[in-house]
Amino acid sequence: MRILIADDEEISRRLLENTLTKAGYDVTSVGNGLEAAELLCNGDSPRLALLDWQMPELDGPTVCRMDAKRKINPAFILSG
Amino acid sequence: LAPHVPYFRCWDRRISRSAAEIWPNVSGLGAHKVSTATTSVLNIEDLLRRVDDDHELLAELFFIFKTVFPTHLQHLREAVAHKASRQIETESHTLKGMLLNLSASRAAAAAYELEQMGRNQQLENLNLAFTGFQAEVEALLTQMDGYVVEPQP
Repeated sequence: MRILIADDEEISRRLLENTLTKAGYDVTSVGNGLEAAELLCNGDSPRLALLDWQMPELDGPTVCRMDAKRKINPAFILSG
Repeated sequence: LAPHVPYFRCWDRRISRSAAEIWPNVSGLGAHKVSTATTSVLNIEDLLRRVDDDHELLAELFFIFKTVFPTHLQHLREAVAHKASRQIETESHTLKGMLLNLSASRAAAAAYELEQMGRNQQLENLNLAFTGFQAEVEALLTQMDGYVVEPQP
């Protein structure tokens, strides 16, 4: 299963990425909301997105709401 | 995900709700304050548990912190100098998250104090709190420098 992590705080992102990878998940991580939104518009986008609430470019809630261009709507988990 | 997820950012919300419940023994957060001398600057055992005893990852996290911290500290310093409440709150919040992820609870508590001052716009003791925060982080950096990453078998 593919999981997207979007967090501008690098230590948090790296820790989460490491744990999920070790648990067997296919992890993609990005450092801001804009990159997350672009990635989620791809046809093979992850089915689960873990988003930080506050991020540069676009915040987590805004990324969640940008569903018009998405082919697949993933499950979102927001943290702040 | 259940066995893995609790290590992460959920801390932020837990602190906002009830810091004293989460860290009753951390100076500045709980009703039962203790001397900072009794609390480790860096809880290396806890941190190693967090990274599954992966010393290479630990070294990488220290490197990331040492790389990004000066910029955050500079932003916070400027915010404190200008008494910019919102910036104090957001920078302290970011630093608090980083420090918690590194099991540096004393420095995180000092960042939390600054965050609360910014959020509540109560800036009377701001300079004192910032000085305290800097002292905690300097101690943390010294401890990080002293930590030797053991080679993996």
